[in-house]
Amino acid sequence: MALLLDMLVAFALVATAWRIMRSPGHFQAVVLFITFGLLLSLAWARLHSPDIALAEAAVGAGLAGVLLLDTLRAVAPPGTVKAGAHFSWLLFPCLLLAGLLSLSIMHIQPDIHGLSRAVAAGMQATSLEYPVTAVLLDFRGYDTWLELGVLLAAVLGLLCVRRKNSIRAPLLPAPAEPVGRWLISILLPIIILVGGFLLWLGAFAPGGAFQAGVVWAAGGVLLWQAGHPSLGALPGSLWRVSAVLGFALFWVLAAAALIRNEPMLTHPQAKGWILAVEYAAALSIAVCLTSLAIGGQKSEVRGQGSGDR
Amino acid sequence: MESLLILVPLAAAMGSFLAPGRGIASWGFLTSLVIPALAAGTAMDVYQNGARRVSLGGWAEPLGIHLHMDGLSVIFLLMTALGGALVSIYSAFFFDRESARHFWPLWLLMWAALNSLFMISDIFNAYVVLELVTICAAALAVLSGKTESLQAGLRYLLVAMAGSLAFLMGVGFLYAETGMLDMFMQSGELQGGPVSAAAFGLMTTGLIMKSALLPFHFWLPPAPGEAPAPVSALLSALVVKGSFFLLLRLWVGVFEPAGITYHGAYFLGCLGVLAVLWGSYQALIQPRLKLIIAYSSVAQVGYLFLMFPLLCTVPEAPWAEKAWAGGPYQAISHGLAKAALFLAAGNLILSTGTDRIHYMKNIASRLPMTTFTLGLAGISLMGLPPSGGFVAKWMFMQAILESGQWWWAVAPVLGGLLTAGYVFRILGHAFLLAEKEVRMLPVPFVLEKIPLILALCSILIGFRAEEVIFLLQEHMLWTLELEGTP
Amino acid sequence: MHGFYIYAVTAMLLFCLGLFGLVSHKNLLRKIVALNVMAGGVFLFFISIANLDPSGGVDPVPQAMVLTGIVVAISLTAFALCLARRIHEKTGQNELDTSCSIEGEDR
Repeated sequence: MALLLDMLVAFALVATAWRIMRSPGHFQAVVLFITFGLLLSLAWARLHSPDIALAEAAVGAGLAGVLLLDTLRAVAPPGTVKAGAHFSWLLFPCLLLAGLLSLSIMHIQPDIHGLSRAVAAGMQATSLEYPVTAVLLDFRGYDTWLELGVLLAAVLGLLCVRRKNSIRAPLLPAPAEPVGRWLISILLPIIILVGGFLLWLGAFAPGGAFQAGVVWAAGGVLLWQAGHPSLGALPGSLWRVSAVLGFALFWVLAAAALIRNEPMLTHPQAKGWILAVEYAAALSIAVCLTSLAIGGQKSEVRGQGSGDR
Repeated sequence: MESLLILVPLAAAMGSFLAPGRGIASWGFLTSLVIPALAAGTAMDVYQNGARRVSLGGWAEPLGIHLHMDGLSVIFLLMTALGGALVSIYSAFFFDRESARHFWPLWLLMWAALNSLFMISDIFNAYVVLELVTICAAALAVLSGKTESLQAGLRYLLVAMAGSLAFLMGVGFLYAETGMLDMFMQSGELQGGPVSAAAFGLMTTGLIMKSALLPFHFWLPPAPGEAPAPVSALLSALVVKGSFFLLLRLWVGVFEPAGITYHGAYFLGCLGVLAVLWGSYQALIQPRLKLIIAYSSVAQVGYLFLMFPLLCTVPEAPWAEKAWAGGPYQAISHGLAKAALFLAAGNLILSTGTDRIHYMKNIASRLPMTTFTLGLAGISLMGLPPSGGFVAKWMFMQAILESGQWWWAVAPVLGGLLTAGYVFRILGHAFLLAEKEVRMLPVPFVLEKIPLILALCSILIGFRAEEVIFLLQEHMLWTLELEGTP
Repeated sequence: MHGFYIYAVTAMLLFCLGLFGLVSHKNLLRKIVALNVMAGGVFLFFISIANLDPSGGVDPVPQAMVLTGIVVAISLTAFALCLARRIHEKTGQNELDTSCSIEGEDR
């Protein structure tokens, strides 16, 4: 039964990917991609990874979908459907590559231990109780720090492309019908609560900074989509501080260790410290992702080009 | 010391992001004063005490991430410190306020990422760092906001993203085979079977896409060719070297001991030779100075790949040490010379408003310092003694002759001739007398001096070859057995 | 155990289909979507390795790596989309200019 279910999910994934590549319409491809994200989170759930299922559903299907649809609306007016792929013969080398890679998969030893034993040993020494969060924030905290850097760099790049100094997106017209407003007023508190709950959960169960940040970002995007002043209403300096906060706290953690003459990022195993860093990271992830989603808008005509000299 | 190499630029990046006021350039200026000192300190430490590593967060291997410093990383760190600092000082005087506000946070982040990359030890961490470098580089490439630069930036971003994903897939295969992520621990664990081969192929392909070797070179000329001068210098001199460094580390440290590099090494060598010839030829026919310099990067990157057939085909080869010294030497001298050339080209554009070489007539008398810089950097690129480029090519030639793989000599010999061709083409136009006077703006003092210093450095490192070679050979990967005793 | 092979082979197929989409489409949006499908394949491979653990549990390290990877991928995607949009605003094109406009009018 389980085998059948796995095969079904796998087949659906490959079939969706194939349709994404071959469908002639761009809109169709984007919608299929969102479906693909949902199918992937099903696969994560089958593979006992609830954290990733949660993140994938929020990012792959949610945020990436919003970004893609938004871009599609801006670059391709509906009705202009162009032909699909060009170099169809390239499919054969690609499938050949897939075959070769699959053959090498057959040679993977099925009894590798990976790092799970090392993590189990490390769990004795860390103050966090959930292994994935411990790996993210403690054992491999450097990765997470730099990942926040990548997120920040994406926001910086976006500002650079847009020649803007802060995320000030023009307001969308508010939806006329009252249902939308009513929905927002109910959804928003729920989103804030769910995000906070996930964050709190991360210390000992699936959940954590990233999932919470994504859920909050979804709230920010929703606000903006409904015509409310979302992140754009923040004063520039406050926006800057909150975007960089998680990154900055990691920096403080790293530098504090140097002052105590220990290797970088070593910290006294006090839970408060790690949780502070995690909460700040969640806030920064939320702010940066929201900025990436709403900041790509064309700035108003007056503001544009002021920097071009 | 080594942690500060990452912490200082990051602090400055955050500072310049949070306080984008009038004094934003001072963040970069201060960093460029501190980093060379730190890099020199780290280099002295490694020179005297040998290779060492730091466990981040205090978690021992295999659990934690480490920073690893040996001769190779120190050489690249020094290059980044010197090139980065001089380009930073140039940039402090180059950008207007609006551009500076976008330039500094991105460049300082990228500087930290590059420093981290040259001390890399963990392969997944390498992926994150590479992506940080990529996104900063792509954002910097579109700084001018022109359509061509936007297209060049996006082209680079797409190639680099695909390359990183291939690399990441390779990381997955390596983890499946060894159950570890630290590349220095993995080397003994590889079995050389199909799984290792898949990891080897994927990682190599991903990294050569990012380091612009011949079939994947198409993103390189437009990206620096359309960016502002300091950005072109950084992209061409430093960013490309990052992924090359990682490739070298993986080949020599991880895959060569597993004995799966033999055919791949010859293949990369062939691509390298083709890149040298094709890049030099393209440079010879380009109408614009910045494009000549950018295509010359394609060629100079090609030389670096001659290392692989010389290092990774015969185990314990007697000529390996010479090839091992030649590659990093080529990387530094090319990095410095290329930065000098791009900054000098930037000066020309500032002064004359164009970099088409037909309009470059008579600059020798009007901008003597810039012309001199072009000449000096050209000497290093051609590989004339006593420049750094000469030492590199000489080392390569020796290794090639000793190894008996004489066919690789095509690259240094023919490539050198073609390089001479395009360098003299630039200089020839510079000394021609113009039929009618073109209006030229004066170039600020600092902007003229910085490229000259860079060009001089690329010549002068030829005189310090002994120390560099000692550093590379004594504190190399094969001293890693000592690592159990930190 | 069978689950591992099923998902790992699926991962390879997704990676290569994404690669095919990346090289076969000219439209930038489609290229970016294809890159995301590739990324999905890579992440799926990581998690199927994590499930190989003989103790019966799931290795937390690949899970953490995939979470990091998802953030990195969405950052790059967002930036690439922003660039594509800006190019469209400037040129009206949804494709990269392959005719090498940089060569200049001399050629």
